[in-house]
Amino acid sequence: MPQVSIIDDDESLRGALVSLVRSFGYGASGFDSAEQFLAAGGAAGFDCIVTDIHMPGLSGIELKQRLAAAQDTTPVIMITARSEPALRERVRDSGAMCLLTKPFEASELIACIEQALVA
Amino acid sequence: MAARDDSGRAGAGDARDLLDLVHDSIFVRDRAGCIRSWNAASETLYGWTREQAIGRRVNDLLPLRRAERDAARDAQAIETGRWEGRLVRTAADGRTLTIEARWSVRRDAAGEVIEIIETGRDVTERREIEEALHRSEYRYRNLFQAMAAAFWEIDFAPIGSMLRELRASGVTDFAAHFAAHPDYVRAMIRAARVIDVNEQGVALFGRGDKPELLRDLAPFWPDESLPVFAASVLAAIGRKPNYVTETPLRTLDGRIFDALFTAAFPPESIAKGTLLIGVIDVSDRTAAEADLRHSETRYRTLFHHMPVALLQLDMRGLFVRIAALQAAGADVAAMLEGDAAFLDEILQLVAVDEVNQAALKLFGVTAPADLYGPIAPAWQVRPDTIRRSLLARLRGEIGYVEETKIATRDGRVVDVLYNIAFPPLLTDLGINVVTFMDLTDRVEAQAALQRVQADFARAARIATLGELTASIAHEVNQPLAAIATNGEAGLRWLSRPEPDIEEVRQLNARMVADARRAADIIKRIRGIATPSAPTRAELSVNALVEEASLFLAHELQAQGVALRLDLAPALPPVRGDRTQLQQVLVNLMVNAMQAMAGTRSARRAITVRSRAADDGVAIEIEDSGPGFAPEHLGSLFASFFTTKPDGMGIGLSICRSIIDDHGGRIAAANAPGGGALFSFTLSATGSP
Repeated sequence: MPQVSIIDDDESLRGALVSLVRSFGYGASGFDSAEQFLAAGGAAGFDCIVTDIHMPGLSGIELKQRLAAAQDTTPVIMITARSEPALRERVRDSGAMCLLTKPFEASELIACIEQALVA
Repeated sequence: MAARDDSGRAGAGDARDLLDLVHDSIFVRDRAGCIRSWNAASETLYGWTREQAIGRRVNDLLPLRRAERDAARDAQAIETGRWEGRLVRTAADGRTLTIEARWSVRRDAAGEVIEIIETGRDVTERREIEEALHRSEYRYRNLFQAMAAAFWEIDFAPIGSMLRELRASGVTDFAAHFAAHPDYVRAMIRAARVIDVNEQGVALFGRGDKPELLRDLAPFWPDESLPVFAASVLAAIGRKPNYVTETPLRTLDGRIFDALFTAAFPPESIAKGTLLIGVIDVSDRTAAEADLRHSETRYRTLFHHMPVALLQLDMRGLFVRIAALQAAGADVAAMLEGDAAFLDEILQLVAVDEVNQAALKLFGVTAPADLYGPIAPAWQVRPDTIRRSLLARLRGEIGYVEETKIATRDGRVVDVLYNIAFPPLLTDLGINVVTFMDLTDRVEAQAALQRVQADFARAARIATLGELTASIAHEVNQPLAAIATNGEAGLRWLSRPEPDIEEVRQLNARMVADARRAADIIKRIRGIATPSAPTRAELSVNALVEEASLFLAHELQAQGVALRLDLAPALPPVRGDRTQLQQVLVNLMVNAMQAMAGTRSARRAITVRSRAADDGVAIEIEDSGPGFAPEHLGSLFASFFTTKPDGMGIGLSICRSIIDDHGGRIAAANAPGGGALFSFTLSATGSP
């Protein structure tokens, strides 16, 4: 069963995302910050990472940069409540697979995850 | 017309005859200032005959005092056609004359000046009197009004003879001689004779009999006043116009009193060998009597013409009632506090017995009698004022003031400043005077000002909301996104062949919580954007800081600013308007963020501190930005001052007006670490 990690500081959204991903038949684990995710072993054991961008501490983009620096190529899907074009560009530059703007449809997220797992 | 004397000569024309009948000096001069006509009164006044005057330049004939030579005056007269004023001129015999002059300029058809006619009146004497009056007014203005002076005419001739003998004997320094020989001064006092004395003089020094005062000065002159007599003589010899001092004098009965002593040496008197002495009794006794005589009149005059409404109250009924209660051991203060019927009784016991014009206007009546009787009708709206006023009197205070409302007789309710004084003298007589100042205009102006300030503050809040739009959108989006995702996940679980009810229950619970979260955010924003009258409630400063932080949490995070709260526990509550005080905190924190946005500072941080201050709570907001330029520190709180390129400059001025309204102070400084430091204080609810 493919494993997906969900990183978001908003407890309710994180819980919803974990539940949603599990309802599609994947395994899912939630983390409230990038630091907690890294401390728990990072990308090892995960097939895909879904992360919020704006969080206290490390941002989603910084997390992706750290993973890239450690030669970790686990696909990363980013979500944000913001919509500035500059942000979109920075996300693309970071090598993230997808960017979803909140609120998004469940089907959009699942499509991104499926795409990530194929890659 | 009458002034026309075209011949310029001393002819026998009708015009000149007419002019000679006039008591005022009238002369005509041409453009060059040469005298062309000179009437009989001018001859008398200035001492120059018509023949001597005609053809002379007026300023050569009658030199002006140096200080009065003024070309501008002549220019002004020619410009406007007239001039009026005083001139000090020297007459033919060298006397200095003060002339009240009036010039009128005559022109020909082409507008050229033909001549200037001067009408003049000798006011020398009047001026001297005025000056003397002015001098005495300097210290004795009231006394002069209050009492007449005693005047003596003294025959100085015997003293003149004594002095001539003294000089013949080789004495040249009279002052030294007088000082060394008091007996000589006593001898002069014995030599001087009173030849006349006015009615006040008889009343002050005598026993009702004028002839007994017509004698030498010895009985009136105590030894301690010898130097004053000597100085008067020296002043007379020195041709001083007068000599004024304060010295003790004695009545025929032997009473010694403080006198304001004036020796005057008018030329006419000197010629007759007499001098004039004026004496005013300035001892406390006389002054007090005069005061008493005048105080009644003064009181009446003041009472009726003061521009504030005055009511004289007859308190006797009330005082008798209170005395009886106290004699019976009753606690009148407690009765006032607790017994509404007792207050009603008081309002019937105190009666108005005199009112002034302003009171008639304030209470909307036409006749004073309309207001006489119990005070109750005026206090139907706010009887509590009378309760507090009377409690103040029972506590022994000397007066009581408060802003209150009175009911007028024509049905209005007026905001007034009520002021009652309890001076012991009046209170003993059972009289108290109440003043009312109509505050309608002031109250209305304040209300209008408060409305404007509230509007302004709201506009600023909305402007802040505008600046925070992105942050707010993000904040509202968060629970909405969570609701949507929870909902979708729930639907997914429900549509499985075996619905996982426990999973759906959890998702639903989160949705409810998120909906509440969204509603709270909307409520916060609405609180800021909705106009509302300022209210006062008891507030916790730390809660205010936490709420403002919550409001800005997303913005802070988005801008990468760390917020540190350093809040003292157990602070006293403050009294204030929650929305306004949050606005101040949000404004100052947004300001701090904006100040740091332009810097490359690695560590962007805002620290908010709260601590107990002298009589309340102090709040500080410190940032790690560049701080203020020293030249900006003084004007930060001024309206429309801004260092931001697109700022309106109203944020800080509104912060200040809000804090001022709350009775606090706001200040800006540079923090020791270099950033900006705003601080403000709020009074604790318990403090005055």
